[in-house]
Amino acid sequence: MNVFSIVWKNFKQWLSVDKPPQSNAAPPRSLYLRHLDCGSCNGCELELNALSNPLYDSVQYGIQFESSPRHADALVMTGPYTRNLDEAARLTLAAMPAPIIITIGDCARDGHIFQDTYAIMERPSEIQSAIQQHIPGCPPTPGQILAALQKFKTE
Amino acid sequence: MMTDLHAQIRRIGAQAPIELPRHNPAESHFIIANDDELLAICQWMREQAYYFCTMVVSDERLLEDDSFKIYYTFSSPQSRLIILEYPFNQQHPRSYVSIREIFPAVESLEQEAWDLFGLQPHNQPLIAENGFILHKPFPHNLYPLRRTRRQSRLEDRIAKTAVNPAPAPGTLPEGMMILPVGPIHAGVIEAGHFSFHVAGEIIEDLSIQLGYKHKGIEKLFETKFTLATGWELAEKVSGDASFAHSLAYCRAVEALAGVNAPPSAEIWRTLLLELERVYNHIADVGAMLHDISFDVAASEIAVLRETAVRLNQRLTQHRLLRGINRPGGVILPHRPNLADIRQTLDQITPRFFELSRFVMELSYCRERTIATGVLTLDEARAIGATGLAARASGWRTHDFRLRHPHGFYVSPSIQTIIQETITPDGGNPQRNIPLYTSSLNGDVFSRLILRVAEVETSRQIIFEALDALADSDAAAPTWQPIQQEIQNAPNHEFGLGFTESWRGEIFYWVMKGPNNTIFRCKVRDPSVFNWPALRLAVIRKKVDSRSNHHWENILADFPLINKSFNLSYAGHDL
Repeated sequence: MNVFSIVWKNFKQWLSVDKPPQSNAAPPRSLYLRHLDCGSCNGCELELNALSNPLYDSVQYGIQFESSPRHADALVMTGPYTRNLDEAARLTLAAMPAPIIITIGDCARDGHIFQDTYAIMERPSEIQSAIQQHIPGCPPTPGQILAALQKFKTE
Repeated sequence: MMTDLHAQIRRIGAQAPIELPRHNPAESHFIIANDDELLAICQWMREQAYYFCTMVVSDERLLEDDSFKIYYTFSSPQSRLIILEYPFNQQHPRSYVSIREIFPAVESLEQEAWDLFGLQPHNQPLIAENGFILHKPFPHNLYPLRRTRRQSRLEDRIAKTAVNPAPAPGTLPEGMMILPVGPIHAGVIEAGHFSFHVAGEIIEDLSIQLGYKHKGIEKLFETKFTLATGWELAEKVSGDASFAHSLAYCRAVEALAGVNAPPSAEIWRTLLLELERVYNHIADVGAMLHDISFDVAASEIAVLRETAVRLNQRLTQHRLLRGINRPGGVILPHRPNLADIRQTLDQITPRFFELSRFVMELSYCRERTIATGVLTLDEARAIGATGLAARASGWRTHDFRLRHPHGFYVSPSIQTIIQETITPDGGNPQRNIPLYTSSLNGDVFSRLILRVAEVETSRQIIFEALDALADSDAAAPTWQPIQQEIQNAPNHEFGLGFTESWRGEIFYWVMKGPNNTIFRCKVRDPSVFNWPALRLAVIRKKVDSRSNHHWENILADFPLINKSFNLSYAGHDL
C-alpha cells in the first residue's frame, strides 16, 4: 500500500461522512494567542513554550500561538512594560482584530521586583483597558497558565 | 607565574603601578597611571592569551578620588584574575582610552557606558552614536547610572522629552534589500530587532538592535536592594540562567565579605548549576531539531526537558531553581531526596543520548547543520566569543570551570570529567556519548553535538556531587549568616563573582556602599560577548583570506543559527 492509496482511502471515508455528529454541548471554542514580550526575564516565555510540549499540549484544547496579531484572539503579555518597547507594544495591540490582553507573571501586573526604575513606565490607557485576565506567578507554571487560559476560553 | 606578571607590569608601567591588596590570593589589583600604560599592558595580555572578562564603569566623583573610574578585569592562563583600575584623568574628565583595538569584545560595554554614563573613548569613535540601550523614548543626556541622578528626577526628565525622530535609513548597494524583523517576533521569543541585508536569499549582513528589554537593573541594585537582598534581583536577570546569575551574585558578595560558603553548600551549588545546564542544553537540542523540522524527536526531547524541570520543582520548589542561593550558602526548602535526582537522570539521559545519536547520523540533519552558521576559531578569538559558542568553534579550553575552578569544581575528579568533554575521541570509554571533536569547527552541528556532550559531562558531575553528599554529614549546615562580615567589610570595597553558566561565564562586580547598600553592581552576561559572534556566524564571508569561497547562509538558516547560540536578550539589555 503506498501513500496515495492511504490518502485515497481516507478521502473516501471522508466523502462517506454526510454530516458532522450532532451534540448538545456548547460548541468547542478555540483561543488563538499572540505573545508580546514587554521586558520579561524570559522565565514566562520558557513556561509558555512548555505549553506546546506533549505533556501539556495546549493545542488539544484549541489554545495555540499565532505568528501575527491579526490572527489572534488575545495578546499574552509578559514583563513589566519597558519604555523601549512601548511603541512596539501599542502597534501590536492596534493590529489586533479586538483589543484583548492576558497578562502573565507577577511583573506584568505591577512591575513586581522591577517597580520604580526609570526604564519601566506606566502602561498607556489603551493597553491598560484591554487587560481582561491576569495569571499570577513568577513565573506561573504551565499547568497554572493552561488552567487559566481554559477558564478564560470558556467564559 | 605571579612574579612574571608583576615583573611585566612593572616593566611596562612608566612609574611602577600601585598594587592594592586583595582578600582573594587569586586576584591582583593594579592602579593604572596613564593611557599608554593601559594600552601596553593590554597588548601584552593579549599576546599572553589573557581573556577580557568585563569592564565596569563606576561613578566615584563623590568619593575621595573625585573621578569616574573604569575597572577592567582579565583572566590569566594561570587562573588569576587581573583587575586594572583606570581613573579618568583631570584633562579628560568624561572620556577614556579605549582598548577596543586590542580586545574588541569591550565594544558593547563601551556603547553601554555611553548610554548609561555619558562617557566615551577619546581614541576611538563609538559605532552607534546613541540608542544602544536607551532608545527613542529617552532624552539624549539622561545618563541614568551616574550617582548624581536621582530616580524621581530621571522620571521627570523622561516625561518632558519629545520623542526623537527615527534615524534616516542609509543607502544600499544595487540589488540589496533590508528585511526588518522584530522587535516583536512571530513566536514565543524575547524582543530584539534584526535587520537582514539580503541579496536574493543570501544574508549579506545583519545588524542586531537590542536594548528593548532594558529595565534599569543596575540602577535598581543601587536604589532598592542591599548586599543581603540583591540575590532576589540577580535571579531575575535572565530566567533560564536564574541559578547561575544568583550564584555569581552571591559569590561576589562573599568575596567582598571575605568568606567562603560551607563545603556542603558548594556541592549543592555545583549540583544545581549542572542541573540547570542539563535542562537548558536538552531544551536547546530539542529546539534545534524543531527548527530543522524533525518534530518527532523534538517533541520527545521536550518531554525530557519537562521531566528535568519537574525534578527542579521537587528539589527546590521552583521549576527554574529560584530562591535557593543566598550570600553565605544555599537554603533548600526541605531535605532533598538524593535518590530522586539519580533516578530521574537515569531516566532522562539514556533516552536523550539515544535520540541524539540517531539525529547526529541523520543525513538531513547533517545536511542542514554542517557548514551552517560558521564561527571560525580565529573569529571567536578575535572578537572574544565566550562559553559554549567559543568551545564549539574549537576554543576548547574556554571554560571557567577549568580555568578558574571554584568550590566543588576544584576537585580533581570533576576536572577530569570536564577535560574529557573536550578531549578528542577515545577519551574515556565510560562516557555515554563520545564527542566528535574533529568536527568542532564552529558550525551549527558543532554546537549541537557539544551540547549533547556537555549533558553527559553534567550528568557525571552531578553523580560525583551526589556521592560527595552521601559521604558528607547530612546535618552539616549549607548556609551561614554573613551579615556581620558584610558589615565589617570597608565601604567602597568591591568583590568579583563569576560562574560558568550553560551559556558561558557570568560576571558580577559588586561594590559596597555605606550601610550595606550596593554602590555599584555590574552584571555581565555571556550574551553580551556572543551577540556580535552571532552576527559573524550569519553573514556572508570568505572562508579564508586567500580563498574565493564564501560561507553563506540563507534567510531560512537564521532561526536555526540563532537557536544554536540561544543567547539571552534580557541578560544583554539588563
